[in-house]
Amino acid sequence: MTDPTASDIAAATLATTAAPSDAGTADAIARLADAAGHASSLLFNWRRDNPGAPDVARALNLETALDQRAIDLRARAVRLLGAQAADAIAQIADASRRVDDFLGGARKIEDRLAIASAVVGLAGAALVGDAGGVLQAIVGVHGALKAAQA
Amino acid sequence: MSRRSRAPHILAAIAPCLLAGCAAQMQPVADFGAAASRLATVYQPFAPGLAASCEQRERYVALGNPGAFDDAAAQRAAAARCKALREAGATAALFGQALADYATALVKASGAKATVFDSDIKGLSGAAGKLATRDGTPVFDSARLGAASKLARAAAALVMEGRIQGLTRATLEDNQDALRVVVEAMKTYAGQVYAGQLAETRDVMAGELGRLVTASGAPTQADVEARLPWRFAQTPARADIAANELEARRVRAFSRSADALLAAHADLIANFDKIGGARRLELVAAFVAQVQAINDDVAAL
Repeated sequence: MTDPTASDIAAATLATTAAPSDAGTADAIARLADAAGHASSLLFNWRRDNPGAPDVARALNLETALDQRAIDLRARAVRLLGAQAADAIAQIADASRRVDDFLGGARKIEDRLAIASAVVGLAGAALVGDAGGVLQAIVGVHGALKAAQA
Repeated sequence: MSRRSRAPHILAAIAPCLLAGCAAQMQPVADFGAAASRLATVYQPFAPGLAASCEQRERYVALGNPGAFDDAAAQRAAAARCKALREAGATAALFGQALADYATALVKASGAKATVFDSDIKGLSGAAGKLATRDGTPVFDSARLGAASKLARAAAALVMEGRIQGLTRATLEDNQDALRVVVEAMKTYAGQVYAGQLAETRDVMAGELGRLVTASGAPTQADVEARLPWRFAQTPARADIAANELEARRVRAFSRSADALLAAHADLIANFDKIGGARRLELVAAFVAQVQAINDDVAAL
């Protein structure tokens, strides 16, 4: 049995890196792309180092086919990653929007009234100068905080 | 000291404690957001890098092909061949954008200031300060009024901080899975797809460099002149290879730090209620330093 030529090896690689099914993961597709791309690079270097080899023209064709397959598989792997992550990206975008909305809406009138009302009680107690009253007013502020946090 | 005169001091002491407690709890969130933002920044060039590396490989291959050669035409052909990867890069950029948006949201939330009620509080204090008895004597002790205002601001800050903390905790918990999916997608893109492309491009460039070195050999002085193009061509080829290797180092560092980021996020949730907790972002910080070192290497090239 004769040793396989570079072209034989490349042709075998081409066959094994046929496009996988949709069930294949992006990771597996990326690995297939690596196999195709690596074989293409090996073939290129072999062709450059052996310009007088009898099957150099065939090697060039296979090398080009493997290169194209690697590109296609990589593009497909990224598309699959995008499809898998689409919901997660949308969810994170929504969370970011909610934070912005929250910070933008912090001047809601209910909050202002609740706090202002509690502060009125607190300030009043402080004005009267009664420490016991101040402590009672603090309880009032605490209640307003609870209500606002609910 | 009487109860009455002690009250303002107690009030004044409470306010900063309340505020300091809130700020300490949010600091780890801010740290995490900053680290995530830096990670997204490091990832950003990876997206267009895939097609760029593909085109570079195609240009090197074209140099070694038989037939006519035109540098500009070779570049156009390379761009056309790698077009699908340029489009894929746009998809990959979305992952980094999502992480950056999330990081920005956390930084914003943790850095929010409870100043929205200040005008109300100042208004109340000002009005109270103007109150006087019929004989013109101020009704209010200015020290007590100042203490009351300070506490009011602390109370307002508590409302805001409490709500922000509630929102932040919910944001962290709700998005843990989403963050994992996005970061894993970034890792797969960087560590598998992009790294694979970089390795192939490097193989082709290294092969060409080896052949340039071989072709540069001049048995006699008379042969040197004819070998000069191959000798000069070695320098840009080596620079291309060095840049490729640096990018591969960035990719490897990214994968490690992406894992650290996910761990830090989970840690942040687990320790959210512990003031001063969740500070284990050392790995991410180390990564940032590592990337900085790599960037310094690039600058030194």
